[in-house]
Amino acid sequence: MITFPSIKRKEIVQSVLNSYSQVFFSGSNFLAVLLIIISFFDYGAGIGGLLAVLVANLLAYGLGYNKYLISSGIYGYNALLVGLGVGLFYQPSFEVYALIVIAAVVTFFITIVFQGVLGKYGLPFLSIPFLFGIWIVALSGGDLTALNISERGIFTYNELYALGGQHFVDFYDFLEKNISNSFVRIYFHSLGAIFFQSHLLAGIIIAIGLLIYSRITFVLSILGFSVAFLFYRLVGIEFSSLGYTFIGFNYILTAIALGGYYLVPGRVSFGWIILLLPAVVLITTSTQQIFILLRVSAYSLPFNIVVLMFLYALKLREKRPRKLLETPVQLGKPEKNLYLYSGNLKRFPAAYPVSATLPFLGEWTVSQGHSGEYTHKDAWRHAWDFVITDRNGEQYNGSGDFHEDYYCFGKAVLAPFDGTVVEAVNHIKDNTIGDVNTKENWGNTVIIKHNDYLYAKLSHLKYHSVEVKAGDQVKKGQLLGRCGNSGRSPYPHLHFQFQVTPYIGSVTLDYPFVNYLLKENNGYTQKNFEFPKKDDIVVNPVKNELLSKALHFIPGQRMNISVEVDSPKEKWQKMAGDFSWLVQTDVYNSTFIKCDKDQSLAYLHNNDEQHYFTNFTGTKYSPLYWFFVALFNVPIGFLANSRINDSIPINLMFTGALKFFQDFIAPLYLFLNIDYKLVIKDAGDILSSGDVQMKAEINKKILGKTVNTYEIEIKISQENVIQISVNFNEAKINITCQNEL
Amino acid sequence: MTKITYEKPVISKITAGIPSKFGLPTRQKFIPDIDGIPVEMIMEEYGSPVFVLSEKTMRNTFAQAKQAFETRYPKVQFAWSYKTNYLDAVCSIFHDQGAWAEVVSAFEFQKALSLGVNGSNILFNGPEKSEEDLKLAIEHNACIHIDHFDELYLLIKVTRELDKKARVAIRINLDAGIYPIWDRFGFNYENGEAWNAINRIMLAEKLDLIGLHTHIGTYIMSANAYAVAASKLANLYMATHRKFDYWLKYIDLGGGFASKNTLKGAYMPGTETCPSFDEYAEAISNALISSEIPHENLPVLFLETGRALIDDAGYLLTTVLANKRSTTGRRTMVIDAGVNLLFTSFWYNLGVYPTRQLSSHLEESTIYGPLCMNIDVIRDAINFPQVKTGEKLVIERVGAYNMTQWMQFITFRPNVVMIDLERKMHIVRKKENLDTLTSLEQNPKR
Repeated sequence: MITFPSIKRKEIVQSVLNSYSQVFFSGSNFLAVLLIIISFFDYGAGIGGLLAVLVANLLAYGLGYNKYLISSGIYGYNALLVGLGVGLFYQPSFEVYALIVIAAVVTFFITIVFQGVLGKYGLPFLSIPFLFGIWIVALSGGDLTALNISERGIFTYNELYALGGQHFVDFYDFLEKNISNSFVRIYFHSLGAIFFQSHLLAGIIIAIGLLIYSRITFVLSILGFSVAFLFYRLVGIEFSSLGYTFIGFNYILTAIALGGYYLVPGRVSFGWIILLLPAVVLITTSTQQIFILLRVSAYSLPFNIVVLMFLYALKLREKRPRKLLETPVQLGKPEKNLYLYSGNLKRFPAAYPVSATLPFLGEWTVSQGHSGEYTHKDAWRHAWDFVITDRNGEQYNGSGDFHEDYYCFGKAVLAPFDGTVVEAVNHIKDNTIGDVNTKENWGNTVIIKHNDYLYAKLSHLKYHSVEVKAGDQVKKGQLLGRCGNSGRSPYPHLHFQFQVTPYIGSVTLDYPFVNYLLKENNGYTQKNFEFPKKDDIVVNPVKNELLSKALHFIPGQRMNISVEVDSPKEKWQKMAGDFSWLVQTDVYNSTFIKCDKDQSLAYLHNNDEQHYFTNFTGTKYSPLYWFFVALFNVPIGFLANSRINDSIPINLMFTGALKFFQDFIAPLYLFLNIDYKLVIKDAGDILSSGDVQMKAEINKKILGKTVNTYEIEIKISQENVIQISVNFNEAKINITCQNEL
Repeated sequence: MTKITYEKPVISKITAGIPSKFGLPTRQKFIPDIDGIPVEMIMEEYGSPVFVLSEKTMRNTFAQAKQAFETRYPKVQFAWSYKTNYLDAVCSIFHDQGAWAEVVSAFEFQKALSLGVNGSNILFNGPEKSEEDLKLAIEHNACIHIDHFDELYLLIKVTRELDKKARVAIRINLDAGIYPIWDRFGFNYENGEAWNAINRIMLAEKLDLIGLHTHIGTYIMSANAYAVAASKLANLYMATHRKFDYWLKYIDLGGGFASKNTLKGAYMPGTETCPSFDEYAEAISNALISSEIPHENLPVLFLETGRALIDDAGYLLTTVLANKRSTTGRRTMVIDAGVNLLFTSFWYNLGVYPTRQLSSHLEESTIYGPLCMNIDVIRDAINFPQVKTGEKLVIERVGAYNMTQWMQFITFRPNVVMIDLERKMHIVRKKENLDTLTSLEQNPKR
C-alpha cells in the first residue's frame, strides 16, 4: 500500500516543474513552463509526459525517497521522456495512457537502479533509464495491437491550425520560409527533438528559454552543435540524416552536460567539448547501424556513453586538478558554478588535509625560497631556508664570525603540524661559519610524518639540540630542536621542506602553509595556502579568542538581528526592523545561516583558522546578505593592522545587462570583479580583552576600474555582539547581531 | 700647520701594580655627534646642560628586545615602566611600538590615560594604592597587581561598593638565588603566602585573578635568576590550574634587566658583563617552555623592562666650567651638570667623554657638578685628558631614571631634546624658568 503522508501541493508542483527543466540540467521554473507548453504542441505527447512525471514523482514520494532529490526533479525526467515518446508515437487512447503509466513505473525503478549502481561511482544516471524505458516499449511495439500508431507529425500545418488557427499557421510558415540556412534549421530541429517535437518553433522556443535561463548553456548548445556539424562535413557523413533523425540533440546535450554542468565551465572544459564531440558523432553513426537492425532508434545513447565515460575517467585522476574541475556542489546553473568555484579555486586551492604552520616563533625571513638560487634546485626546489634579520636586514649582530652572532642560532624549531617523528639526527657538529659539511649534507634533522603521503623535514639543527626521537608523537607547535649550522650550511639557518617519503634526502613536495602573516611596511597581509617567497618576513598569526568565539557558528544557534536604515530609497528602507537567524546544517554537511523572515541563506566554512562565507542565496535587500558580504573572509588569528584580500563571486553583486553579457564570455574571461579587502584595525589585546574592530572594503570593478565601493565597519564586542555598518551611495545600513541566550 | 695645544706639565706617580689584562685604553673615546647631529650644534641651539634622547636608539633597542623574546616565546607583551622615564614623548614612542603601560601611582596612571593608553592595557603596580586609585583602576578595567593583604581587603571592599569586577594579579617575592632578595613587595612564595593569597582571590566574588607578577630586583646581572623566578611562577600557575581548573592568563617577570652602564665597584665594564636581551630571553623562555605547563596553555609573558630599553638612548651634554687641583694634587674639574640631574651617578660610573680627539695623556681626575654641595660628584675617579673651560662633554647612557628622579635644586632643570628618525630635533621638555617654579607658590600677605 502506497501512502502519501505529507505531500504538499507545492512540493508536487516543484517536482513536476523540475522534472521538465532537469532535461536541460536546469532548475529553472521559467524554462520548465516553456517546455511544458512545447510538449503540449502535441497534446497526446503532452498529456503522456505529464502523466508519466506525476506517476514517477508520486511513486517516489509514496515509497519515501529523499524529498530534496524528488523536488529537484531527478526521479521524474526519465519517465517524462518516456511518456512523451510513447504519447507521441500512438494515437491518444485509454490504452496508450495505461501503457504510459506502466512505462513510467518501469522507468522509475530503472532510475532507482541506475541511481544506485552509478551513484557508487559518483556518476549521474543521465537518461539511461529513459533509454531502457523507451526501448522496452518500442521493441514490444509490434505486439501491442490494440494501439494505433499516431499519424501526427506528418501533416504539421493541420496540427498547427488546430492549435492556433490561421495566424499561427502563417507565423510558422513565415519561420519556415525565412530560416533557410540548413545549420540553423537542424540546430532548432535538434533542440526540439529533445522534446520529441519535429517542428522549428519548438526548437526556437527552447533556444530562447535556454538563453534566458543560462547564457553559458546557450553558448554550449551552439558550440556542441557546430563542432558536430563541422565534423560531419569534414569526414563527409551524409548530412541530411542529421536533419531527418533529429539525432543532433546528442551533441547539444553532451556539450551542455560536460561543458558547463558536471564540470565547472572554463576554457579547458570548452576545449574538451571541441575534442569530444567528434567522438560523439562517431559513436552516433556506429550505434545507428546496430540499432537499425533492432528497428529502434539509439536516441540519446551516444550522449550517455560519452558523458559517463568522460566523467568516470576524470574521477580516476590521482592529482587533484586545478583545471577541468568537477562541480563540487551542484548549484544548478553553469554561471553560478563558474563564479563561485573560480573564486573558490583561489580560496581553497586544493583539499590540503594537513594545515601546516610556520615551524618557529616570531618573525623570520626567507633567505631562500622555492627554486632558490643557491641549493633549492631540481628535485629539491620546493624548500625554504629561514633566518632571522634585524631592523637593518642583517642576520647577525657583531662580526658574524661566531654562531652566537646570528639571531636565528639556537632559536626554537617547532613541529608544523601534529605527527610522528620518523627520523631524528642529533650528532652532527655545527660548522664554523663559512664552512660546509657536504658529507652529512642535511646535518641534524627531524622528519615528521603527518600522513601517509606527507612528511616535513627540518634540517641543519644545532648539535645536540634535538629534543625528540623517532617514534615520538608531536603536537603542532611542539619544540623539536634548535636552529643550528650543521650539514651543508655555511651560516646558521633553518631548512624546511615537505616530502612524500620518510627519508633524509628525499625529493621535495610542492605543498603550502595553511596561513601566515606577511610583514609589510605598515602591517601584515594574511596569506592562505601560499608559499613564502625570498626576502619575505613571515610570522604565524596568533589566535584571537574573541573572534574565534564570535565566528564559531554552531548549528541550532539563534541570532537576533536589528536593522536600521538611512536611505532615500524605499526598497532599502524596507530592510529596517527585527530579524531572527538560525544556524543549520544541510544534507551535504555544510553549515549555513538562515533568515526566518526572507528565507535567504548564507553558507559558511570555518576551519578553526579562518571563517569563510562560501555562498549566498536570496536577495540583497536582506540583512543576511550584508552580513555575508562583510564577513566574507575573516582570519581568526591575526595581529592588528593585518589585512586579507579575497574576491566575491560576481553573480552575488552584479545584475542586469552587464552580468548578462559577462555570462556569455565568462568561461573565457571575466571582465567583472568584486574585490574584498578586510583590515583589522583593532584586535583587542594579547589577553583578548577589548573589542575587535575591522573594516571591509568591497570594490565592484569593470575591466579593473572601480565603479562602486561599499565600506563596511565591523565591530565585535566582548559581549559577542556583532555590529556591522554598511555605507555606500544608496544607503547606510546598521545591523546589530546578538546571540539568543 | 696648526699650533700645538699647550698642556701644563704634570708629574704623575708610576703605579707599577699588575695591570688588568685589558691594560689601559690607549685611545680616549670621544662622541662628536648624536645620530649624526654635532654635539656643538645641539648645545648652541638648546643651551648647556641639555638632555638628548635618540628616537632611533629607542626604537632599535625595543625591536631587539621584542625580537629576542618573540622568536623564543609565543606570546610576549612589553609594558613600559613609566617611572623609568615618563616624558610624554618617550612613552608615546614605546606605546607606538606596542608596549603597554606599567604604572605605580595614580599620577602615572593618569599620565598613561592622557596619552591614549587603553585602561585595560595598564598594569597597576606599587605598594601605594588608595581607595580612589583602586576605583580609577577598576573603572578603566586595568590589571591591578596586588601588593599585600590589606590592599586585597580594600580592593574586595571597593569592588563590592562599585558592584564591578576587577582584573587582578598578585605580586610575588621569591628567592631567585640572588642577593639581595627583594622581599618587601608582594606575597612571599617560599613561605606559602602567595599560594594563600591566590586561594583567597580565587574565592573572591568580584575579583578575576588573571596573572602572577614578580619583580626580583633591579640591575640583575644574572639571567639565570629570571629562569628560577619563571619556574617558581610556573609552579603556582599549574597549582592554580590543578586546584581551580582555571588557566591564568599571564606571568609577569617585572623589569630589572641591566643596561650597559658600569655599576660602581664593578671590576669589568658593563658592556662586557651585563647580559644581553637574548640571554635573558633564552633563560626565561626555556624555563617557561620546559615547565609542566602544556604548550597550548602557555601564559602570556609580560615584561616591564624600563632601564634596558631607554638608558642607551639618553645623553647629557655639559660644559666644563673650571679646572682645579685639590690639596693632594689631584686634578678636578667642575662641569655644569650635577647630581641634581644625574641621579644615576650615585649607582654608576657614568661614561663621560669629550666631543673631539684631545690629548692622549690621561690623568686620573675627579668630576664635580656645579652644586654648592659636597656630595655633588659625577665621577670621583676617571682617566681624563686635559680640557679647557668651555669644552663640551657628553655623558652617555643616562636615559633611565634621570629624567624622573632629577631634582629641582639650586637651579633650573634644562631642556630635554629628542632627535627623531629624520634627524630633526624637538624639545620634549622645556627648560624651567622662574615662573615655572614660582607659579605654584603662594606667599601669604603680611
